[in-house]
Amino acid sequence: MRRRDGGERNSRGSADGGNSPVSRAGLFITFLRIGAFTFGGGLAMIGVIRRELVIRRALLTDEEMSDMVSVATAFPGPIAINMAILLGHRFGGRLGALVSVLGVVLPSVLVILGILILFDGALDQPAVRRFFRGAAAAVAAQIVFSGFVFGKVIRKDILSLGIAALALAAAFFLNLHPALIILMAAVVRYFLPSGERKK
Amino acid sequence: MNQIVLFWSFFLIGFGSYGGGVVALSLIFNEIVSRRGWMTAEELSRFITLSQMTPGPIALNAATYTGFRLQGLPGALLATTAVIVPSIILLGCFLFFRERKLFPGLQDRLDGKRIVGALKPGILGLLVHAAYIFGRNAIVDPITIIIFLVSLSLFLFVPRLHPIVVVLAAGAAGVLLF
Repeated sequence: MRRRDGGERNSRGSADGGNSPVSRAGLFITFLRIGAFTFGGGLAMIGVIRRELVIRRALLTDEEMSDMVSVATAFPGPIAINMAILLGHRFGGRLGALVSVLGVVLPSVLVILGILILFDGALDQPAVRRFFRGAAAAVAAQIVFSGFVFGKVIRKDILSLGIAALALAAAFFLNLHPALIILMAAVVRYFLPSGERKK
Repeated sequence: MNQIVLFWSFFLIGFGSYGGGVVALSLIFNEIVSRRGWMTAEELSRFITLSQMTPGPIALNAATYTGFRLQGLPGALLATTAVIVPSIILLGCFLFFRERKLFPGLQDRLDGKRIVGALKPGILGLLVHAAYIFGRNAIVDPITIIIFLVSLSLFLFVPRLHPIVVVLAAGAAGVLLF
């Protein structure tokens, strides 16, 4: 319903968005594509956007793009959604932001609903269960690998490692909400000096 | 009343899922399994595995799935919207202030790199926690241990390989070996 509403206003609002090089329909399609082909993480998506908007169509400079990425990662929420809001707003105002978010969200919502409605029973088939047991072990490896990546980035910073250990202990032993743990850890780290060991 | 709880729960998940991806896992387990008991850890683990093979951020996928399970299509739409709302509110304020130049130099003062750097330790701590919760259900016998170790070496030493290929191959190995 909201989608149809956006589409209607899109055609009526083309006059005020007329000087933008990207139409709202174009924004919707672009983010639909990005939403459909981004698996797992948001960082892969940034490469796709850069190829499309910076290199191919030259609508954005690399500097603008990196400003946007830094705002998108500094704010809460999945990167894909934050980038859709920022880019949509840049090229199509408020409505552009809305249309872009709908575009980026729609594929994943449709896929999950499709699985739930069409294949729900299939998830309990023995062969499918065996498939998921194998795949889950790989996903566990993926999570551990992400831990390695984060650990590598901060391994020289002894204060950061200490905060990570405290956050881990809080997650295990205190009944604190993880969002609160991240927030507290971030505030503490933000105001502490760098703890990098000098050689 | 249930709608409010569902919305609030996924609002928090959206609010806390910095960068998306597996970073949100600890949060999703906490809300859905520990706090609300909407799913068992086993069911959620299976869904997260599935969600690594479908497009879109995990937080969003989990919202659609859980919302649908609890309250059908309206629940799916409600929970999915809830994940997006924090981004819209906060970035909306940011764009509003920047356009009207209410805080000159807001963009400069908002040092994204420094904020992201500050987030990393907490994220690492929660990632290790998530790895434990998820791994406890996923790595249970010699075959899963082997699949885990082989996948981990692939992630570490063959970075060009897309993760989804490894996950699908591990699933195929599961069908053959179990």
